Amino acid sequence: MDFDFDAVTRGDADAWQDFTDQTIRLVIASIRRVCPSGKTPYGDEIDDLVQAVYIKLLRNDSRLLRHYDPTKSGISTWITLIARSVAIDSLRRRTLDTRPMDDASGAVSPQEQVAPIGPVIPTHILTARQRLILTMLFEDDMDVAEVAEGLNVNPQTIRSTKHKAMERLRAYFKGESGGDVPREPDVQSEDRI
Amino acid sequence: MTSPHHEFEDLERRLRAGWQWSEHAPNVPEQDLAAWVESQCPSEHEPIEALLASDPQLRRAVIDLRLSGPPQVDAASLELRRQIGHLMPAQPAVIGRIGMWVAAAAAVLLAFGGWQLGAASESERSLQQDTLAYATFGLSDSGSEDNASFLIYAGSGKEGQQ
Repeated sequence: MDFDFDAVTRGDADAWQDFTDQTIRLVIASIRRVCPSGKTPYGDEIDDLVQAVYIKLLRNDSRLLRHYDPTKSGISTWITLIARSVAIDSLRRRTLDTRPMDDASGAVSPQEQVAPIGPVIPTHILTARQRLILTMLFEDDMDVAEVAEGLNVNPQTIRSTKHKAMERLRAYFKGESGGDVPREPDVQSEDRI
Repeated sequence: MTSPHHEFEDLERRLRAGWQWSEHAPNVPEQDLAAWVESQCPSEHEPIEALLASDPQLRRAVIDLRLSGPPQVDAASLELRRQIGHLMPAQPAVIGRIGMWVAAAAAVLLAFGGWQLGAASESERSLQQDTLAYATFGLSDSGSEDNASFLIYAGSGKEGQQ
């Protein structure tokens, strides 16, 4: 991509047109990756989401545009992430809008909207990397090689990190249940471990 | 008494059935996520890994981007391109900007001038009121020099108005 980014951040209309012409097809493709049907399940047209992406870039006196740092990442990766994040936010917002009234007692995190019901594990039990690896292995059903590729590390690192995480979880659950690993989550009582 | 191996298997089965972390990680700027995707920041980046662990949709999008790169581009309609192009607030041209400064300066001058005229008008009105008061209540002492000078002044004022 070749455009005058400084001019875009200064608010030059021609540079903006140039920028949007060069990025819009990537933005559309990125949104379609999140909403493959061309329309979100709740009726947002792709075009609306594309506009939302560019409005986000211009919001707060073009804060996002001004903070883009070409030394940290390419423009394609950056704009793809922003487009996907807008599409995901749109899906979440609609999910919140359609929640039943009796569920609206408090704020709901994105995690709660999409994660399967099950025991709640205190975040501090594991490191961030351990949590991520367990999540990719057990929630996303990825194998060790896929996780290693996704995190750009050696498969052996994944195996040893998984093992340490499982040790910690086993110790935690033993302490919680008096010597036994957790039983099947009780969905009805929303038992929180 | 179950062996550690069986405990691990059991734990793994429970985890596959689903669980939730107790806290949701705070957001991370897209710029940092983009740097992580391109391996431009340390591989073990705690805020990013915490966010990805707690946000399945974002995790899938980010890992997919890391593995596959940006997607192949899609076609955009001319109408959409036109709409997006018009999102940028119009910037006034140089001449327009100079015109804006001149207009602002003129407005300040007008405001100052108006204030001065108003102040002058106020002092004139005050003088007229003094004159009226003097004429109404102060003429009983006829023959004084003050009255004579006032009459001369009032007469000249009337002529001036005519």
